[in-house]
Amino acid sequence: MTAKEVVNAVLLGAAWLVQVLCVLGVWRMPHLYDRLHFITPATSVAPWLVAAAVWVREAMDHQGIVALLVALFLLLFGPVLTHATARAARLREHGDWRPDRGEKVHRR
Amino acid sequence: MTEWFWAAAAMLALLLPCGLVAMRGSIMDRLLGLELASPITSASLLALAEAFNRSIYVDLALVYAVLSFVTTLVVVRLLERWV
Amino acid sequence: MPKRRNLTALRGHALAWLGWWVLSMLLWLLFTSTVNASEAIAGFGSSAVAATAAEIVRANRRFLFAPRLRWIAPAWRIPIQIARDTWIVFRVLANHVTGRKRVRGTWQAVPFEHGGERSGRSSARRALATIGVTMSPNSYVVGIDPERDELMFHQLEPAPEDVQRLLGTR
Repeated sequence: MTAKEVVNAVLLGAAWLVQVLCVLGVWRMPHLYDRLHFITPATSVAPWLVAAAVWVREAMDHQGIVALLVALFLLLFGPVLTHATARAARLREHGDWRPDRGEKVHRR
Repeated sequence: MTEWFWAAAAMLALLLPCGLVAMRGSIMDRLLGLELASPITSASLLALAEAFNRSIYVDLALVYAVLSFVTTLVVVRLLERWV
Repeated sequence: MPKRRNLTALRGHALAWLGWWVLSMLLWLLFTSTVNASEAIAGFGSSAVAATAAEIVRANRRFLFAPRLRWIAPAWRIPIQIARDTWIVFRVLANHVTGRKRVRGTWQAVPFEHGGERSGRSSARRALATIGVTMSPNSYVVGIDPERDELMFHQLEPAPEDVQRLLGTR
C-alpha cells in the first residue's frame, strides 16, 4: 500500500466510525431530544473526512471540488434540519416551542 | 477491491439500522432514521465515485444532498402542524 | 418624481440580478470544473435563468437577511467546538451504553436579543446564531424568545458557556 492509500484508509475508516457511533446514538439514547444530537456528527464531521480522502486522491480535480461542496452543504444545512426537527417535536408535544410553565430550563 | 469499495460497502450497510430506526417508535423518532440516512448516503456516493472511478457519482452525491435536505424539511414542516 | 423612483427601483433590481448572476456563474464554474467556450456559454445562459428566478422571488417577498461581516468573526471557534463536542457526545454515548452513567440532556437558555421580526439585521443575526450553535454536536437551538430575549437550546452535557462563546457574548 502506498502512503496515499494508507492516509485514505485512515480517513475513510474514521468517517465510517463516526457514522457507526451516530447510528448507535440514534438507536440507543433514550429520548428524541438526546438522539437528535447524533445527527450532527454525521453531517458536520464524517463528510469532511470523506471529502479529505477524495482530496488526497483527486486534489483540485472535479471530484475533489464537488466532494468539498457536498461536505460544505451538509455542514451548513444539516443544522437547519436539526433545528427544524427539534422545533417541530416541541410544537407537537407542547403546542409551542417555548417552555411550559413549570418546565425546567437552566438559565444563565 | 480498494479501500474505497470497502468504505462504500460499509457505509451502505449502515442504511439497514437507519431503516430499522425509521420503523420503530413515534413518528418523530422515525424521522431521525431518515435524517441520518441522508448524509450517510451522500458520503457513500462519494466513496463509490472513487471506487468505480466515475465522476458522475460525485455530482449525484451533491444533487442527492440538496434534494434530501429539501424533502426532509418539507416532511418536518408537515409534521409540525398537519400530521 | 414617480419616474425617478422607478429608475431607482430598476437599478436596485439590476444590481441584485447581477449579484445573483455572478454567484450562479461561480457555482457553475465550480461544478463543471472546466473553463472552455461552450461550457461558458451554457453557464452564462443557465446563470441568467437562475438570477432571473431568484430576483423575481426576492422582489415579491421581503428578503430579511442583512448580516454584518463582523458577525462571522466568532466562526473560527466552530471547527474547534465541533471537534470538542463530537468527543463529548461520543463519550456520553459510551457511558450510557456501558451503563456507567445514564445521561439526560437538558434545556438551557442564555440571554440573546431578538431584535424584532421586521429587521433584516436581526433576522440575519438570529439565523447565523442558530446555525452556528447547532453546527456543534453537543448543542442545538430550538428558538429565540422575543418576549424574554433569550436563546433556548438543548445540550447533552451542560456547557452553556460554550454557546455563549460561539455567540460572542462571553
